[in-house]
Amino acid sequence: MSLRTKAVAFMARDLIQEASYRLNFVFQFLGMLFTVFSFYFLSKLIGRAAVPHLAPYGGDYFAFALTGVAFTQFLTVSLSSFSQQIRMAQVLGTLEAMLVTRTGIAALVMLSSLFPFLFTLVRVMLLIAVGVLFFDVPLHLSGLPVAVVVLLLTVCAFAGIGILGASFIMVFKRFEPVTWMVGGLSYLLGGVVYPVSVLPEWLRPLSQVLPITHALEAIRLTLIAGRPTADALPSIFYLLVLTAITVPAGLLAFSHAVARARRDGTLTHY
Amino acid sequence: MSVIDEPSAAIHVEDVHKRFPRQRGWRDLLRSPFARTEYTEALLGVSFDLESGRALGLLGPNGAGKSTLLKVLAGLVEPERGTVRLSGYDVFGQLPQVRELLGYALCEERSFYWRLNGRQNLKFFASLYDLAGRERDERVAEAIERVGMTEHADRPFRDLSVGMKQRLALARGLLNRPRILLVDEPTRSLDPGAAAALRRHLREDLVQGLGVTMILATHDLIEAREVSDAILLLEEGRVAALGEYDAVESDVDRVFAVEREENGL
Repeated sequence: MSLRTKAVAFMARDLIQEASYRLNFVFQFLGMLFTVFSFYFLSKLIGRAAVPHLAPYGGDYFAFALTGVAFTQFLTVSLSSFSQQIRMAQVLGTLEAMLVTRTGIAALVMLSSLFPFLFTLVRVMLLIAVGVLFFDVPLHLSGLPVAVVVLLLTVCAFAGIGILGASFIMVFKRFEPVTWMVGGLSYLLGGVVYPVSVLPEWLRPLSQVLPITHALEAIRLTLIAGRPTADALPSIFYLLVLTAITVPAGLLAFSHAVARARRDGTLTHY
Repeated sequence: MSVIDEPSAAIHVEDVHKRFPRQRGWRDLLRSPFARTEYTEALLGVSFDLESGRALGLLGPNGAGKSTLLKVLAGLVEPERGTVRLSGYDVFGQLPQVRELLGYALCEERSFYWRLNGRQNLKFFASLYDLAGRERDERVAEAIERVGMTEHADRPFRDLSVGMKQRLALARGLLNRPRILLVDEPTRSLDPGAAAALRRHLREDLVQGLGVTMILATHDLIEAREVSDAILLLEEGRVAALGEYDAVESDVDRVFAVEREENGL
């Protein structure tokens, strides 16, 4: 059977579960509206004061922050979903039942994370749609193909780091330093709700190491400022290199973690 | 140790050793942070063979190593030493082939999705066994029927009784029509009537009818005797006895008497 059919089974499972918690399901979308309004009013307060810092991205703080908050959701899901799904299966007790089937553990982890990724995609699209339709956020559709490529690379680069985090969960069950460290630094230094140019001079090189900085830079330049694809190429190249490093490293670490858990007899412990 | 002819063995276990690192408490860790890791011996040189189409009752008190042995057979725990072969396939070298022929009825209600109904749960697990479309639906219906759950399969899993949940767990173990079935405490929470019916189903339908090779881990001596052709008695990780029930009955009585004494019963 193809992986596609298994993917459908995982998504059906997760959709039924997610939709069964009706209030939570509805409020997840309502919560997004609060985010949009919060940044809209903040942008009113900031007004033109931030324009010098925001000039490369079109000068509008609301558009800057909305794209930052929206696309950073992919960072969150890429970093945390793999380890969260393993942890949840360990705690629910379903991991053992899945592990004795014909589906390998790596495929189980990847397939388990599909729904969170798709759910995030829907939420981000809604967030952007609300911004464009109701708050006049300028969106250059010509930059969409580049934004999609950047997004895919960002997801892959962070997924590699996320799988590395899942390896920690496999062995240590609760201790997972990767998401905390990379996620925290990305929010602090990655230019999510304020541009990197406001950071102290000595912190800026560190922000350039983070994939989120490059991803948001490329997305904002092409999607909001309408700059040509060439302007996003350095960021795309950096993300490509990073993906080539993080994905194999994550998979290698995960394979070692599974082997160790199998030896220790803790594969299904929590 | 073997009561069954080895060349035709569906399950071949030879000199399996497994130990687990012992968890250290905070006080111990602070006193001697670099002390050598201590281990708990879970299986000590376990060997046996089981012929195709036979049922083996795995008996032993708590901590004897029953669950560890089942997990080793299912490829979930890797032993330090020893050989484990299912239908000639090495469990740790040929795991995909082993998965093809193995069913593992983990009778643990936590191992299901409580927001899904019984059928949805089984369909999901059937997909993991590479089943799709009509074949998957038919296989799920067949497994549900086998355990007598047709009337209740479309109820939310959380609304099912403990006994129904356990029957559904057995149904899950049958989804891939396994040639070898591992069953862990299948009648633990069932009322006597339901337990007897399930035991009959295991013995008459699966082992005698379909020729499934089965290992049944249980605490229940009656269950072990009714369902199994032979008994493997484990005591502190070692094989204390292996043979037909009547031949090992005195060992079983001795081991369980020790357990009752230790528990003050």
